[in-house]
Parts: sequence; C-alpha cells; structure tokens
Amino acid sequence: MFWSDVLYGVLFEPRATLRRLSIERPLAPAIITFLVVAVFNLTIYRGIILQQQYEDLESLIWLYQVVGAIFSFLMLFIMAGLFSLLSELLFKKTNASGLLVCLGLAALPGILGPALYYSALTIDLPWLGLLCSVFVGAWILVLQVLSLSEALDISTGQAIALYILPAFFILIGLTLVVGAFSLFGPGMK
Amino acid sequence: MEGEPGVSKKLVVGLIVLFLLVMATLSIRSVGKSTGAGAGSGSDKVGVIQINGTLTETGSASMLSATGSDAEKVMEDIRKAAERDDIKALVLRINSPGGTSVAAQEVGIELDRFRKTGKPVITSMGDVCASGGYWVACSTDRIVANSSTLTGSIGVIMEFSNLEGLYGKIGVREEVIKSGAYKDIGSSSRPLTREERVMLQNLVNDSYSQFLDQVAKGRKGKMTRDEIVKIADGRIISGRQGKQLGLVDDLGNYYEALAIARSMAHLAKDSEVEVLNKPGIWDSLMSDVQANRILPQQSWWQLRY
Repeated sequence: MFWSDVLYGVLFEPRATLRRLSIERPLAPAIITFLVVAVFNLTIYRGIILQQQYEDLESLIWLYQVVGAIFSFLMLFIMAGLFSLLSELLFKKTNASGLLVCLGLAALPGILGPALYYSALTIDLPWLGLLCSVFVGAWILVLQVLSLSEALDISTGQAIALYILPAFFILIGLTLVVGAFSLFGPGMK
Repeated sequence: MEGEPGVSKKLVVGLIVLFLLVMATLSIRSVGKSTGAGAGSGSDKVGVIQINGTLTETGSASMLSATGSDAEKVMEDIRKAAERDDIKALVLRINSPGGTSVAAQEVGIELDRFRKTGKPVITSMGDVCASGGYWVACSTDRIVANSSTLTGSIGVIMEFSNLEGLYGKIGVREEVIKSGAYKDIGSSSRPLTREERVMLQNLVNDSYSQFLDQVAKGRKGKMTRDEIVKIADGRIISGRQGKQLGLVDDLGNYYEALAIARSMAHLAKDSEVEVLNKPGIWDSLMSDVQANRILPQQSWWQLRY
C-alpha cells in the first residue's frame, strides 16, 4: 500500500507525509518513484510536442528523454547533498538521505503537470494547460521547501532561506562576472 | 507507512492513476501516428518528394556545393512510394537550378519506372526548376509552375579554370607524368589544346542531344523537336513564358499541383498528403555545419545540366 498512501499523502497531506518519510527514509522506492515520474512525463512531452506540430523535434525526443532523465536524476542528488551541507553549516542539522527521499517524492505532483497540459491541448485550451503547469510548478516548489523543513527539522522560514541561498549565490556570482566584464572587458570606443 | 489508506483515498489515487494512464495512452497513440506507424495500410494519399537545391550524386558535391538533394536518396524515396499501396499519386516539388547530368538522368529513369505502376506524377515548380530540374520534370506526367518560376535553361555546361597565369606569378609549376595524351585534360596549369576542346565539345554536344531527347519525350504531343531546339540554347524563361511555349502544362501553386494529382489519381479532394522526404532535425543541423559555406565551388569534371 506504500504507493497509494504516499501518492495521496504527498498530494493532500504533504507536511505529515514528508515528516514520516524523512524518518522512515524509504530510499529505493523514492528513487524509483522519481524515475517513474521522469519517464512518464517524457512520454507525455512527446505527445505535447507532436500536438503542437513540432514534428521536426520528434527525432530528437529519444535523446531528450534519456538526457532529461539522467540530468534530473543527478540534480536530485546534487540538491539533496547541497541543501544538507548548507543546513549543516548554517543550522547544524543534517539528514541527506531523508532529504533525498523527500525531494524525490516532492516531485510527485510533477506527474500531473504535463498530463494536465496535454489534456488541455487535446480540448484546445492551451491557456488552461499553461495555468495548470504553473500551478503544479509552484506546488512542487512548496513541497521542496516543506521537504527541507521536515527532513532537516528546521522552521519554514529557515527552509525558505536555505532554498533560495544557492540561487542567491549564483546571482551574486553572475553579477560579479558581468561587473568584471563591464569594468575590465573590451568597451565601445 | 502506517495504516491502510481509506476508501476515499483509494478512490482519489485510483482516479489520478486512471487519468494519467489515459493521457499516456493518448500520447503514445499520437506518437505512433506521427512516425507513420502502419504506413501502407492507411487511407489513400498523395506522396510528395521535395528536390531542393543542386541535384547531385552521393559524395560528388556534399562538401563542395550549396545544400542540395542527393539523387540516391530521391531515387530511394521514389521506389518506396512505388511500393506503398496507400500512395496513389506523387507530386515532385522541385526547387532546383539543376545539377549533375547523371544525377538528373538517374532520377528521371526512376520516375519513368514509377509511372509504369500507373500512378500519376506531377511536377510542382518552386522558385527555380531549371536545367537538370527541368530534365527531371520531363519524366513526370504533368508540369505545374508558378507564373514567375524560373525554368528552362535547357543545355549542358562544363567548366574548367585555367590558373596558368596565377601559378606563374606565385612560382608554382605542375609536373605531369601521364599514360596518354589526354589524361590531364582539363588541367588547371595549362590551356586546353585544340584537339581537347573538340573532344570536350563533342562530349557536351552528346549530352545536350540526350537532354533534347528527354525534353522531346516529356513534351511529346505538346512541342515538336524543332520548337524545343529553338529555345534550348540555355535561356532562362518564366513559368508563364514556359506555358506559352509548351514547356509547362499549367500555371498554379503547390496546392493546385496537389489538386491535379488527386484528380488524376481519382482521390478525394481532402485526401491526405505525406511528404516522403521531409528533412529531420538532424538533417537541418548537419546542413548547417557542412563546409560548403566556406569552401569555394569546385566543378571540374562534371557535366552539369
């Protein structure tokens, strides 16, 4: 009954479910779930691409599927490791495997996004599909923050700060690079 | 996990899974349709083969000329169209200034074979359908051109570059050891001799005569050989002039050519159209990285229509 319980719990009782998962740490089922979501979504993306008449992309879809699945899988590990490390540095709390499980299962609503978008396309309501995709994207973001909060046992505010920290560093890095280029790079003469 | 999910939970999860399965099935079915699964068993349709750019043989110009059509690939597509029961007519969409004489001949021969199956072939001319492109068009049942399409250019050309003066300036002297008097005919380090010029002119004349035969065969009952010879001096003409002269059957665009194909094959007006050699994204990408954009044109030893 693991799958139905987790699916329902992550979708409708996320905080309590993610807390349980961070303690029980069902690593293998979580990774399998994440991969199933990735592969299923890529199948739906093929339909979306063809529905939108981008047939020329069809020949690239297999490559896209494989690269996409590998990349998202690697990103899951990178996110779990990075957030756990940052949490240890900032809050002295760590739970990498619990975080991996929670972040993996936080991707579950993502299975609905492309499917809803595709169903909206089939009834010729692309704007509704776009709306659903944005909603699902936001839902996943919220679940990822909740995953940080529950798996690392930190407050929601701390989880939000932790979540945006890497993006903040990237932004600062980019600003420095752009600034350096504008100061020392070749200018207009 | 603790406890069993309740009935409402099971129902919600069941509905979500059902929805996902339906969407996955629809998606997979659309992929199957797009990739032409079951080709040959579908409804009757018009096949379209595009000939874009210079028509050449495999390997003869892939790195040296502008992006073009590979005669072997075009022939293969024509063969497949002949074998397929669902293809009832063929439209050749030609946008080509010509190509090598052999490439045009090969495609023409394959089209003649295709027509023996009883399926009609219609040419739809794009911007340009001249020289070798027109050779190919002469192997089709009907030629449709836009009024401003550039066509004609019936003739043969062979070009050599004599770089003797340049070589002299930069101190290059070519040493040639040959088994016969004409083995280095067309060498860039010296001008043609009188005998060589006569020999090559005869070659061009023979090829030209074959071109005239092809046009005469294709325009049989519409133009006499004398009428063809009068305009077969390499001149380029518009689609409308071509219609007046008899080189073109109808004036119209691609869709009119499709309509004619449907009519000749007794197909419904809304029957499906399938482009048989639509370039994939890989082809598009590869065409952009070919060296033809940076290398100069090289056409020695090619008879070109």
